[in-house]
Amino acid sequence: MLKLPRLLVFCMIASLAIFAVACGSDEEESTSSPAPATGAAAVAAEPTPTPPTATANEAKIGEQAADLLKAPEANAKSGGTLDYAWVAKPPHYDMHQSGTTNNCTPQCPLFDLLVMNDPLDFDRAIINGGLAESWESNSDGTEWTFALRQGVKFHDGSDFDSADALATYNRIIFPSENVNSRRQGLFTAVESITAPDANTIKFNMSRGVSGGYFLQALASGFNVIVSEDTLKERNDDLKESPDYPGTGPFKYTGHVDGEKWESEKFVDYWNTNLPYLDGVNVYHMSGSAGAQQRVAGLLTGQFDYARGIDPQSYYEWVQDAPEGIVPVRFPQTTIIAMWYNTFTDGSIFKDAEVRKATNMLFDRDSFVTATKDTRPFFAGFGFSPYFSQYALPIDEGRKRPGMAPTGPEKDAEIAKANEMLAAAGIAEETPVRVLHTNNGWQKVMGDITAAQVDASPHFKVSQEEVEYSIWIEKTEEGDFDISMGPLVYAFADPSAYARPWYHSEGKTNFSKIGDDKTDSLIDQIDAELDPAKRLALTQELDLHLDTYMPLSPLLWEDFVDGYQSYIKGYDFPGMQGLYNAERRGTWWFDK
Amino acid sequence: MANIASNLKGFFKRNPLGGASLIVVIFLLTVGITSDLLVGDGKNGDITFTGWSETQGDYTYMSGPPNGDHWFGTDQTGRDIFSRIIMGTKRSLIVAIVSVAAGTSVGAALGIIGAYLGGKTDLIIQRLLEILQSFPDLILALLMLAAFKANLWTVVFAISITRIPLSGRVMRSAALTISQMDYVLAARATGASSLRIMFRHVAPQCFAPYMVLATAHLGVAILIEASLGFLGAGVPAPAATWGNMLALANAGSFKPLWWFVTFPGVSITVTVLAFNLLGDALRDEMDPRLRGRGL
Amino acid sequence: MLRRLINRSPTIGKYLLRRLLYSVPTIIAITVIIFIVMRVVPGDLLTAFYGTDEVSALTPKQREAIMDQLGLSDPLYVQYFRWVGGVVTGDLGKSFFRTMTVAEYLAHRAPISIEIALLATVLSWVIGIPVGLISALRRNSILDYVGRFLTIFFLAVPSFWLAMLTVVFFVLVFNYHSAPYVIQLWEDPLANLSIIWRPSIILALGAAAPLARMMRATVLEVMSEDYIRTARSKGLAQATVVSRHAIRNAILPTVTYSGIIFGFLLGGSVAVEQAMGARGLGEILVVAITERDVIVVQNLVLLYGLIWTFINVAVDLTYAWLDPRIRYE
Repeated sequence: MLKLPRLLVFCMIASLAIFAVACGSDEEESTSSPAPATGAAAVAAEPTPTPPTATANEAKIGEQAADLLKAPEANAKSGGTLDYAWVAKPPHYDMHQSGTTNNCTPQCPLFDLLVMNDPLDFDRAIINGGLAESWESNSDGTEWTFALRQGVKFHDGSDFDSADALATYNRIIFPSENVNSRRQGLFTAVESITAPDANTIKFNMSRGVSGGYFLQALASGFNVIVSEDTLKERNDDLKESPDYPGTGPFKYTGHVDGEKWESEKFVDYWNTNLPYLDGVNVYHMSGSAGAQQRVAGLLTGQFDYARGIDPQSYYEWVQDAPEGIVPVRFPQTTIIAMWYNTFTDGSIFKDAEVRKATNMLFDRDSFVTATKDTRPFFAGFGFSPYFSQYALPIDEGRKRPGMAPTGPEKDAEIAKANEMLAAAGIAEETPVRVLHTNNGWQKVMGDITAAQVDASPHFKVSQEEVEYSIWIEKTEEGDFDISMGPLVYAFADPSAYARPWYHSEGKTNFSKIGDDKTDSLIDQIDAELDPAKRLALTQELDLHLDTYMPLSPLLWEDFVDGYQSYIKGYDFPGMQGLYNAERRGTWWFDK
Repeated sequence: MANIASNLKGFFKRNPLGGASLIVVIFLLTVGITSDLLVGDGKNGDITFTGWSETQGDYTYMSGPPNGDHWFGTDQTGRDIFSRIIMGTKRSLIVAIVSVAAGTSVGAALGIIGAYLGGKTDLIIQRLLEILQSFPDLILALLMLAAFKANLWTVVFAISITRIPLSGRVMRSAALTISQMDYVLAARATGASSLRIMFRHVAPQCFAPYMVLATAHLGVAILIEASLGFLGAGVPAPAATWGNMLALANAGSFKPLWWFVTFPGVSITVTVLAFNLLGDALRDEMDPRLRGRGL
Repeated sequence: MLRRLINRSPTIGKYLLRRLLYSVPTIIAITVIIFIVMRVVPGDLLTAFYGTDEVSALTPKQREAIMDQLGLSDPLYVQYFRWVGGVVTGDLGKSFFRTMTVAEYLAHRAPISIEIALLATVLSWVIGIPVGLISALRRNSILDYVGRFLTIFFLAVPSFWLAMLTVVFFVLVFNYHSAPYVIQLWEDPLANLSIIWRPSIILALGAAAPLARMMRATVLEVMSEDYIRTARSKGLAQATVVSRHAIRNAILPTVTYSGIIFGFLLGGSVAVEQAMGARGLGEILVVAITERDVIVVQNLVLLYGLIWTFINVAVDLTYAWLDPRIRYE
C-alpha cells in the first residue's frame, strides 16, 4: 500500500510524453515553418525508464531488510575506477555544515550514515545499510533506540562504537557555537542523546515523532558518522580537513582544489559485499563551459558518468544515443510554485475563491513544453513531490482543479475560472502584479504565468522580473500580488516540506495563509508512527489544500545525466538528486 | 562639400578595402543608433522593424531556426536572435566608442602634457602609464569588474582604463617631435601660457595619430567586451551582448544549434575586421610614418 | 654576437639597473591598486565558501570568527602590509578552505598557462614569419593579399568562439577531447600536450597577424636599402639576398615583439582556457572572481602584473641592446 507501484512511475513519464505530443502537434499546426530541431517531438520519444534490474526491495519505510546491501545483479564483478564528472568543488569539507551536493558528490562515498535509504529502491525505503543494525521506538515515538553494528572500522584503522555516533549526532543536533549545523532544524524534537552502552545509541524526544520522518531525517546523506577522536583532534572544525576518516565504502586518497577528488576501495569495509569499484574519482567542471566539458568527456570516454548534461543532448540521446551512452532523467528536490498575497490590505487574493480560480487559469502542460530546452520539468499535479510515495496517483491528480490537460478540457476549466472570478466580484481588468525570478527558464515561466493570468478578462497584469535573492526578499516582504519562483526542500517527506510550506507559521509559507485543519494535520503527520496512517493523513492534507489554495504548485524539477552503459548495480532513474542514498557502493563495471 | 566628396572618391580608389570597411562601419553605426527603434521594448506592442524585443520570448517557436518571423531564429527561451544581435550591436559600439574615446583622450592628454612640460611631470606621467601597462588588458578589465557591479557603464570604464597606456606612450612621442617644432618654440618665446600652447598648437598636430590610434583600438575594445561577456563579467543578462549570447549557447547545449553561435560570432568578427581595416586605411591616409610603430 | 654584447655590457648593465629601479615603485603602486580595488569589492566576502544562500545561515558570531581567521577584519593597512610582507617572503597566504596555499595553487596551474602562451608565441612565428616574408617577397600578388587578409581576419575572430566550436568539432569528428584537469609536462608529456596544443593554435592564429605585418614591413624596408640593391645588382639570387640580409635584420625586432605577444597571450588566454576546459591561471581567475575569492584574485592579478612588468623590462632591454641611442635618452 505504501509503495507506489512502479507501473505508476511509468504512467507518469508516459503521460508526460503524451502531453508533449499533444502540445507539439498544436505547435506544428499553428506555424507553417519547420519544426524546431530540438523540441517537443524529442520529448515525445522519451521511453519509459529502463525497468529496474534490482530484485524489488520489499522493505517498507521503517522496516529493515534482512540482507546486507549488494549489487542487484548476480554476476556483479569487482574492478575498475569510476571517473565521475561533476560541477563545482566543495566550498569547504565539513559535511555537517554543508547543504550542497558539491560536498556530497565527492565526499558521501567516504562515509556511512546511522540509517540509510535503499539506493536500489525508487521509493527510498530505509534499510540497515548504515551503521545501525536495528532500531526500535517506544509506543508513542518519544524514544528511539539504535543497536549499532560491531566490528566497523574507520579508514584510519580505529574502531567505531557508540561514542562516535553520539559525538556525531551531538554535533549535528546540539552544535557548539562555531558549528553551523545545517540539519539541526530537522531534529527539533530531540531532547537528548545517550549512549547506554558501546553498541547502543538512544534519542530522547520531547514529543512523539514518526519513523517515516525521523528515520528519513537521520538518513540525510550529510549526516555522516565521524569519530569522536577526529572531532577532538580537529577542534570540532572540519571545514579545512578534506581527509577526516569515515567508515564508508571508499577511502579518501587525495584531491586537487577545483579539479578532482580521488578515493580508493576501503578494503576493510564492514559490508564485505561492497564496494565493487577499485576507486572513485570526481572531476569538477563549473562555469558556463562546464556542461560542454562534461558531455565532451563522456562522449570521448574520459568519464564513466556525467552529471548535469544539457537538455538538448538528453533529448537527442533518448531518440538516438551515441553507442554505449545511456541518458537518464530523475527528479530533483525543487518545486516551482505561485504564491498569493493574502496579507496586504485590499489584496483580492485574501478571497480563497479568487485563489482557486486563478490556480485554474494556469496550463501546466504549457509550462513543461516551454521550459524543455532549458530545464526538464514535470507538472506533478499536487502538493507533494510527484515521485514520493506520499503523492496522489497521477490520474487522480489530473482531475484536480487547475490540472486539466491542454485542449478543450483546459479551455472549459479557464471558462469556469472566469465565471468564479466574476462571481467573486472581481472587476474587469483588475490590476495584478506578478513578481518572478528573471533568468533562463524562470523568465520563461514568469512570462507564461503572467500571460495566462493576463488572458483572463478580469486581470490586467504588470510583470516584475528580479534576481533570485531580490525575489526572496520581496516575496517575504509581501511586495507582490502573485509571486512565482523556485523553492528547494530537504527531502521528500511531508514533515520536511509540509511544515515550512503549508503550516500557518511555516518559514516559507510566502502566502502567509493556513487553516486549523492544515496545522492539525501537519502536527499529526509529524507524530504518526503508523506508516499507513501517515500516508493517509498526508494525502488528506494534499487534497485539503485544494479547498483554499495557499499556493499553486506549478512544476517539479528534474535532472538529466548521461553514463556509459557498462555501469551497473544501480537504479539510475531513481536517484532523486543523490542526497540520501547514493554512495556508489553497489556500482560495478560490466566490461 | 565637393572637397569631401572628391577626397572620399580618392580614398575609395586608393584603398578599396578601407572603403568597403567604411561602408560596413557606417552600416553598423546606423544599426546601433537606430537599435531602439528597430527593436521594440516589447511592452506596449509597438510595431517595430524586428517585431520583437530583446527579452521577449516567442513561446510558440523556441530554439527555432531562422524563418520569416525570426530572421536569425530564436534561442532556448524563444527570444528573437535578430533583435538580440541588434541590441548587442548597440552595446558593443557604445562600449567600444565611448571607452576608446575616453581612454585614448585621457592617454593623449597625459602624453601631450608629459611631452610638453617634461621634467618631473613627464616622469610621473610615464610611471603612471607604466603602472597601468603592467596588466594585460583583459586582466585589468576583469579586476575592475570584480570591484564594481557590472553594467554597461562600468564595462565602459573598465575597458577605457586599459586603453590609456598605449595611447599615452604613442601620443607622447608624437608630441615630443611637435614640441620641438619652430612654431611651437616661437609661441613659447612670445610668452604664451603652457596650457594655451599645448591645446592650441601641440594638440591639433597630434590629431592624425590620435585618430589612427582610436580606430585601431575600437576592434580591440570590442573583443575585450565580448570576452568579458563570454566570461560572465560583462553587461549582465537579460540584456543581450554578443559575448553573453555565446556564453548562453555554450552553457545551454553541448552541440549548440548553428544559429545560436553563428550570428553573434560573425557579428563580432565582421565588426572587429571592419574597424581594423578602417584603422589601417586611415593610417595609410593620414600618416604613413606610423606604420612602423606597431600600429 | 657575444663579443658585441660584452663590449656593450657596461652601458647595458647600467640601463638594466636603472630600468629595474624604475620598476620598483611601479610594482609597489600595482600592489596598492590591486589591494584598494579588491577591498571595495561589492558583496559578501563569505559567499566564497558558503555560497549565496548559505551565508544567511551564519550567525554574526560565526561570521566574525571566520573573518578573523582569514584576517579580513584587521585594519586595512595591517592587511596590506601583511599581504605585501607575505608576497616578499613568498607566502601568499591561504584562502577559503583550500588545502593548497595560494602559492601552491598558482604554481600548480601556472605551467599550463605559461606553456600555452609559449607554444602560441612560437606558433605565431611559425605562421606569422613565413606569411610576412611571402607577402613581402611576392608583394601585391594574390599570395600577398590572401596572406595579409587571413592574418587580419584571425585578428578579428574572437578566440573563445573558435575554441568553443573546436571542442564540439573534435568530439564529434575525431572523438577527441583533452583532460579537464591539470596534467603537468613532467608527469605525462603527451597528455600535457593534448591540453595545450589546441588553445595554443587558436591563440597563435590571432597573434600571428601583427608579426606578419611587422615582418612584411621590415623586409620591404630592408629590401629597399642600398646594400640589398647592391647585392642584387651583383647578381646574387633573390632568395640568397633575402636570407643573408633581410631575414637577419627583420628577425630581431620580431623576436623583441614576441615578448609583448607572450605577455599579451598570457593574459588573453583567459577566455580560451575557459572555453576549452584547459585548467590554467585563467580558469582560476574566472572562478575566483565569481566566488569573490579576494585572496586568490589579488595574488593572481599581482602575478600577472609582475610577469607583465618584467616582460616590459625585457623588451625595453632588447630595444636598448638593439638601438644604443635609447640608453642615453
